[in-house]
Amino acid sequence: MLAIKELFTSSDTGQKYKVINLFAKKGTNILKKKKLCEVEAENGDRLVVKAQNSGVVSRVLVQQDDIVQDGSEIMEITACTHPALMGSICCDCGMVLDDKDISKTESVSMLHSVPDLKIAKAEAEKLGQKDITNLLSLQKLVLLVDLDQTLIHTTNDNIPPELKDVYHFQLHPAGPWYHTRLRPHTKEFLEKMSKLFELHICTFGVREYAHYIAHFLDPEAKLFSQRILSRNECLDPMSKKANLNSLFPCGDNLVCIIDDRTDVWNFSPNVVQVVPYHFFRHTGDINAPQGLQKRENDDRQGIDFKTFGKDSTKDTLSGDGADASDEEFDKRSYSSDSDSDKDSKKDRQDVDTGKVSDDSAVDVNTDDERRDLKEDDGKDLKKVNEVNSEKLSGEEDEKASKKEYKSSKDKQPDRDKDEEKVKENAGKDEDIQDVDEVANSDRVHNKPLTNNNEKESNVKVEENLDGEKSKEKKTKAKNDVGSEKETQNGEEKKTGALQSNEETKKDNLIEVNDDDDFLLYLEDILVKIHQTFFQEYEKAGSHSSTMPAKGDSLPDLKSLVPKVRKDVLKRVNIVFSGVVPQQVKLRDSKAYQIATCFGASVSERLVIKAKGDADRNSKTPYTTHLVAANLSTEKVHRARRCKSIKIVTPNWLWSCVERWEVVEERLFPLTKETEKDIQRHPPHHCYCPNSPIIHPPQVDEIPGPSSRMRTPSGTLLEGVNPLLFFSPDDKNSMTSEVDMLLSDEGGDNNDTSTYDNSESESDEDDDDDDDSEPSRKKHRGLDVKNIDNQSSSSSDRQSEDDDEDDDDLPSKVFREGGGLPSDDSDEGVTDEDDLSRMGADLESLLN
Amino acid sequence: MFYHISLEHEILLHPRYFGPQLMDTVRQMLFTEVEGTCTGKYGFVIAVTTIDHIGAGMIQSGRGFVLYPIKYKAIVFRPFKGEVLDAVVTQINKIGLFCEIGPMQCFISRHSIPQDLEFDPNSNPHCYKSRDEEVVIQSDDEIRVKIVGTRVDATDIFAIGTLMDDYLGLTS
Repeated sequence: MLAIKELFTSSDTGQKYKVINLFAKKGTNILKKKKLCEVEAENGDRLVVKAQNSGVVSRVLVQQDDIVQDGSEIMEITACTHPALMGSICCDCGMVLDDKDISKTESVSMLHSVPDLKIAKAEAEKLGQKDITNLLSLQKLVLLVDLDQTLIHTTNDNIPPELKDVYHFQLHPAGPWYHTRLRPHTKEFLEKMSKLFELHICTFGVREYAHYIAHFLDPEAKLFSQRILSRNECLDPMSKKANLNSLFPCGDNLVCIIDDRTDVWNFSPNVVQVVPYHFFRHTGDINAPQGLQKRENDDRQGIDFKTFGKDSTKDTLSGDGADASDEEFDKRSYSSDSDSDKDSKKDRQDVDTGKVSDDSAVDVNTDDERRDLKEDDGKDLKKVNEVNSEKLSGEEDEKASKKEYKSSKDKQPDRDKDEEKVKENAGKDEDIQDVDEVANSDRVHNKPLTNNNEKESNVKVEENLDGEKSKEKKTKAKNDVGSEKETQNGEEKKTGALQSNEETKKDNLIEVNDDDDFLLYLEDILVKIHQTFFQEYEKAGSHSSTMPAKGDSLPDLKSLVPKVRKDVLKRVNIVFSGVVPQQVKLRDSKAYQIATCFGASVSERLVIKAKGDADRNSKTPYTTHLVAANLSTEKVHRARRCKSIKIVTPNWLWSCVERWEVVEERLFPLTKETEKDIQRHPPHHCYCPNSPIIHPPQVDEIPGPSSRMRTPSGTLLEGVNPLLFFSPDDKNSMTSEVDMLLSDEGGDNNDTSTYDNSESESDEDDDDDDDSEPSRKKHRGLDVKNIDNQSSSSSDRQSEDDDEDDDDLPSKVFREGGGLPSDDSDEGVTDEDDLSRMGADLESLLN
Repeated sequence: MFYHISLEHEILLHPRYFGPQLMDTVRQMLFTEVEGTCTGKYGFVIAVTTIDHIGAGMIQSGRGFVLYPIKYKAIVFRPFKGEVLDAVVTQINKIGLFCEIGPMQCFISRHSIPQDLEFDPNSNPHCYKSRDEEVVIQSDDEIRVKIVGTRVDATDIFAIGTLMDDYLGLTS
């Protein structure tokens, strides 16, 4: 606070005045130009002294009848520091400041809803500190929640109006209609999270939109109250990160974020990435910032209400019609090619989302199952089993129903026993058999996943379970139930058609079965984060006697969230096979980065537990999982022989990454059927914050042929094929470049992984843009290398070779004694397959 | 403060309204165009009381629109510094509280709220309350405020208020 003395000024310096009236006393709030006192000159002239500053009077230095003259002090004022500004007006003294004064004060807008209201930094920090202590005393953290595709999905396409659980609204009387679907379990999720977190909405939607949605999510404004940040209040149109500093002036240690995209948060480590919620097909995130739209599989996922709507509005809404559209839908979702962003979970989801299932009974069941997930409640499980077996009979083959029946007859005690034993020790054969049967029967209808090898691999899996994994039990139970749920949805597919007929007659509402259950997993993730934080916090608190309320001594979620993430696959040792393209180094591959970011250790070779060396455990951990995309690789064959290694598809890894837990491996076996659905590249939403953001290749590091200075002939051909116009200088520079390249990379690059062949070439083409950058780079290096090898030959010949050097490479390498790639034998196999197929094609053509 | 003053306004009328109901339309247009607006000089126009004179309509050359100059009397609300008014609380946060004085938004900073009232972030809805919970200010409560400053824009007036004076605060 600044103390300012108010001086008396008059034009006549010699004149003496007598104070006749005092208008202010100590503590009076005075504004600029307010009257302070009235004085009278000796000749009777009266003057009113006005304040030059605004503030609070802290001392009155003159009294009535005192004599004052020019320059004498009248009052001392504690000036207003304008701690809060509303636009240009000070909220304390009410003074309107001009731009000069405003720019002097460093202020932040701390309220979500009123960006105009700015408060001084010191003041904001004080308030922020208060917030933090308050939150900590309540054992709460801050959770910033995104709306679009995280909790809801909104479209402005035309959709049938009678959909259940879809909200329709207009932002402006003449504006377009919006249709919003809440993600399943959203309300329960928010309800639970509000006990652990202070919830904020952070969306790129406009303010009205955000408030509409907030009203749907939280009609009583209990969860979010006024903590809604929309596009209107965003300081940076492309990033939500900019607002964090002003909202949390004392640091964002307590802030956790859930969003379906991390780029808008500048890949901040405290973002928990959410699997995007897709309900309406053909619609992505309608509020994505301009230029940041992600071209994902908007046209593949979700429900296409165009076909759906037609079928359902045919007033009969016959089961056949709905079913047909479903099947069509299924086909489409399955026919999507292998580089799609979906993982197998999505696949399954897709199968199910399209169903018209108005079977409320089944819905109740799914609710039960959900509870089940949380509580391991035995009864529901049993019920589900029974329901399954009932539905099963007559529909599935006898063997399956028998098993199913048996498992439901075994009921809970057996099951409990099984699980316990599995938990303790899976050595006893009988138990394994039982569990196996349960698992098998669970999956009998889950056709895409079922297979003859199934049982065999299951036995392996069971034998693998170690006693230490108490956590595993929960996961396992969950997944078993999960697969049952899946199964049940499969049932719905059949029965739903019939039931929908009856049901729609009743209430005229189309209920769309949407079994997106990601929020349940998200809930677990967030609870885990919350627990970790407060464990850490208490640990810190026990060290220092005072409460660690200050920003620097607080545990920081920006480091804790990655830590929690790293715990997910802690005990997992992965070997990839057929996942990483050969020309990409393992460490550069996305799969590697994602796996390590979730705590898994990844090695290049299988480390197999042999009987003899039980004690050499410390150095390299035994491989626990082989993530393979191809059945016929050498690694798969080796791992098959070793029972302790679980062979899973890459989808397993993506699924683990989505859910932040070790997903049951048996859901993702590597079989002939599943091989087709494999997705080698992680889905968009699987990101790892540790991975460097891939920048466009830096040209100056390895100058490509195009960027080099060339003979200034300037002909058109030079642009078309620069290789035709290489001068001797160019060749020399190329040679030196290759030398440089080799000396750079030679150490860690073995030949087999450097050279590509036709198979991995096609892999590369499948790559996403960012993925392919490093490989492209390397490619360029390869070209040059090849040129170098042949530099002795004539230039004409060379140019021909250059055109087809890609095809040349492997054979050339072979000729030079480099040896064919030994890592994955599958390439050769597929080549053979291709050849034989081509041969067959030729034959048929000739005939 | 409320004033009953004479004001002038011009109505631009589309030719489609020309007809027997012409004058009614003009009157109606005046109400809709004027009531609820705000000018920096006169404040908020609350209601038109009487229409004193509707001048001769001038047809705009080349357009066909007709322009009526109207003189009318209206009740206006013009806030002044130092004025004490009743307000309804709309929003409460850690920085202060927002309230509405009729059509006007008013903000009262935390520093202008008596120190014995403290912000309680854990209550739902948020509120300012004294330690003994005798005084609780929350949304929709009526309070009496003194205006310490106004920001006059072309179409809006925003006020800053205080509760730090005698007889200010909760009225209900």
